[in-house]
Amino acid sequence: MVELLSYPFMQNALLAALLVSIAIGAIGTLVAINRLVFLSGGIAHAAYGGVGLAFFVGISPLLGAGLVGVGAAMLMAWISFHQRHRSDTIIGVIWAVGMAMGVVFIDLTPGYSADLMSYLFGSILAVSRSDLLFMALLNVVIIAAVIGFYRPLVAVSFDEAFARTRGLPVRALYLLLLVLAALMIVIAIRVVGLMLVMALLTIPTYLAERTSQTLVGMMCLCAVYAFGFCVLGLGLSWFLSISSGAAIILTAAFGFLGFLLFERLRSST
Amino acid sequence: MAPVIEVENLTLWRDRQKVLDEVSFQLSAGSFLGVIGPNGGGKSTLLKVLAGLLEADSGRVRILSLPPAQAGARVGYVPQETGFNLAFPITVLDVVVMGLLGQKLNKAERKSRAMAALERVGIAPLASRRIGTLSGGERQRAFIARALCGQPRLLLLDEPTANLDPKAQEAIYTLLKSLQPEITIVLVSHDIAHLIGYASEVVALNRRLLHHEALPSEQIHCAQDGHVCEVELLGALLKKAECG
Ligand SMILES: Nc1ncnc2c1ncn2[C@@H]1O[C@H](COP(=O)(O)OP(=O)(O)OP(=O)(O)O)[C@@H](O)[C@H]1O
Ligand SMILES: [Mg+2]
Repeated sequence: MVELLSYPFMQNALLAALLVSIAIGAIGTLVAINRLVFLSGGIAHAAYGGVGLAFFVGISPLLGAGLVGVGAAMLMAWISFHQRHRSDTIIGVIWAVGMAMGVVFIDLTPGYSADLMSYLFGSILAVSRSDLLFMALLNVVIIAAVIGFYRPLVAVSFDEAFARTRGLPVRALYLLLLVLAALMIVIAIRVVGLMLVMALLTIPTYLAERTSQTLVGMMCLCAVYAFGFCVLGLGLSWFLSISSGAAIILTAAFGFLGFLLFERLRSST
Repeated sequence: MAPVIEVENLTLWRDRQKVLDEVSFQLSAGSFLGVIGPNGGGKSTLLKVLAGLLEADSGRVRILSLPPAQAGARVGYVPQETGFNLAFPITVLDVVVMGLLGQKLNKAERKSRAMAALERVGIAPLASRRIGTLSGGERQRAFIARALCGQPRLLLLDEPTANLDPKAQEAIYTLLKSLQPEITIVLVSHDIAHLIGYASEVVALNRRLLHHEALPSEQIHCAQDGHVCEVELLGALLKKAECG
């Protein structure tokens, strides 16, 4: 077990898990509490278009995913200001179009076929040093923004109308929230992939929501849960030789079920 | 002294429907205005305009001589909807502190102001509870504390006593009365009996403003028979609003 940690790829994987957990804790919490998980799923899948585009023009896939993800986040923010009651339809459209664009760009890229799955389902064991650096950079942006705008972000999340009466720029804060969510998704893509990011957005946040008193507590707990699931899932995937992203998600799902059972038992006694 | 609220020919459309139609009234400092009217009569809409959340399509609205959007810091608003995410992990104290957003205060000052507001509404012992664990009446008081802690000159309350038991209702009316005359109050309510006892004037609103009755102070604390008479008068006013 200890010698596993001496492999560089394992060290990278653990660092990646840590980075993704911090991002999920900091911004995934706000996403979940604002009930924006579906919208974030839309951003994640649209970001796949960015991965394809990046392969096509020959830039880093994470950079491509980041640019397109942020673009999609801005588009969705704009749409929800103007077409709030149709936003689920539009999220669905952006979701599907992003995926389709990704596939088409990759079709058009000569000689490329491998490694695509890793963006859909993650491959934490293949994270490189430069990936880590990029993820750390995005994390710094996320954390700085969450700390810097903590009170306004919480106020808007809790009661948008009241926040407006206090003179807060509600739309700008909403846009900020979605852009940060896009950055978080880019961080998560390497670890669990964009298909599975939804689970990491819902399960640790749900568990944290049920077990903390304050939002800061929820953020910290959420990061701890997410890291726990990543590490356990990573171990499982190593010893059972199964895909890491799927192993992480299934571990989280078992944690979720276990918690529900525990709550059921506790409330019935 | 300029009136706290000046509304002139306020008209507002929503979904091609005239929700407020040429509404005009003024309210002077220290008044307690009760707003009655049928469901859908535009009461919440009017309050949102006064709070700067909705803009008039035509007409002129001034709060303390300022457009509502600029007067926000002097106005406390307690909304009708309680559609908050009750699972939100936030303490009562932190909710109340939100009332101080936009004011430059340090953490200790924010906390002591919020605690003072909680004292004022009588739920200081609940400060560290999660907001979702409070009863309806306690939560309503927390939202009043949030509106109060910014030290407003004008307090707008949208049916704060709906769903409360008679004792809790009484407590909220007593609390509001104790804020007077420093704070001018606008209260939307269907509770005519209480408005008689506490409001200094009443308007009935059903898209148009039907009446603006000043209740002379000697009538507010009137004898039992006079009291009944006033209730009937307001009931008739409300009926007229419903038909009109
Ligand atoms: N967001 C909205 N979009 C379109 N129409 C709206 C909206 N909000 C309110 N309305 C309409 O405006 C009218 C007035 O609504 P308002 O909420 O002001 O009534 P109210 O007097 O507060 O009623 P209640 O006693 O039920 O609270 C209603 O006909 C309502 O359908
Ligand atoms: Mg209303």
